[in-house]
Amino acid sequence: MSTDLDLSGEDRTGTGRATGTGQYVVKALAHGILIVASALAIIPFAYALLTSLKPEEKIFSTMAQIIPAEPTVMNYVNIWMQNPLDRWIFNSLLLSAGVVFFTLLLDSLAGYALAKGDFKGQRFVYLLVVGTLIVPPQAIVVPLYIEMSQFKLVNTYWAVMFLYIANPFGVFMMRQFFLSVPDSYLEAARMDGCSTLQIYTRIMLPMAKPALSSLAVFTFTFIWGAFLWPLIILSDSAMYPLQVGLAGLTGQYSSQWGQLMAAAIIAALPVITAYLLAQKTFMEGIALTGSKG
Amino acid sequence: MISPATLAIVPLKIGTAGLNEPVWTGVIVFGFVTLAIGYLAFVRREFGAGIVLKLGTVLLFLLTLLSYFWPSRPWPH
Repeated sequence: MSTDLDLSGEDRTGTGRATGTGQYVVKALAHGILIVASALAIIPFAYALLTSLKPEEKIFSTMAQIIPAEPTVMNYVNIWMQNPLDRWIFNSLLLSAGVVFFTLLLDSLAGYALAKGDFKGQRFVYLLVVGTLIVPPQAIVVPLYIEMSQFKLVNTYWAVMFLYIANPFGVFMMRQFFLSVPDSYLEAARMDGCSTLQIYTRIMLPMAKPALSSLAVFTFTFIWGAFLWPLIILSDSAMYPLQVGLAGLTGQYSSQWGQLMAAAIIAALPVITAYLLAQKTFMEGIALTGSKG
Repeated sequence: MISPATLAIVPLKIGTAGLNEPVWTGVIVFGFVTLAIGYLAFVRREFGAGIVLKLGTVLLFLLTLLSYFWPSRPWPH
């Protein structure tokens, strides 16, 4: 069986020994950096998980004791029973499903047109789309609110979704992917009698599965964590997504940290699940679209 | 003659939902996405849909039903 380990072993003679040692040092350094980065990402999550299992009254008195002495799930029960958490999760799922679906549809269409289309002003349109990436969303919140108000869409699910559908990053990502598809596929499909739309639906879309998958996970993660725009545009707490609902649980004078930690863990679960389900195609998509930097 | 203000009531009405009311936006969005994903997963063979897309279609259909039958679970529960 040929593996990387076997191949490196063949060179481990004479001067190759120094190279091999150097490689081990580089690998050890790389692993060290990765372990530290992973720890920085995992420790707060693990701390939140362990804190959510502590009784509310013992959270601050046992801060040094990481592992709870008497683990309890009462924080999970209380947060679920005292707040409309199921409705907030449902709202987040609704917004995510709508935004992810229409983002994939519109961004793949736009990316396909910008990569393989041949029309006047194509480059200008592309620059215009990518140029919007540099505009911070916070800077245009007020004009957007006025716009939604003019359309009578304030305090509706539509207003939240409209803002996030067809994001420029998705257009950029899909364009990058479609650029990597050889034109010979299109020419062959044309010779077989496919229209432009048929080439998109029957050839390009199935080929773009890895890119679509990674864009779906990116978008889902982003929408699941969206806070500012839903907070501004929605006024009815029954329509709040999970993040906005949870933010409302932090009081000015007191907060129930155990319940908040439990809610944070619950909020993280769908994102972790989405990533795990789409992990294989997600990694392929990252590699194919050149999003790895 | 139907005025624009009257027309605006429709998206406004179906775009909002009280705590114990049916979520019509959910019925529309989840329903539409279920049909689209279901078509890709079960009809279009060239898409090569895996188990995730097929189970996702079923999950989305259940969410469509949940959107419509939400008032049968009045709060608090």
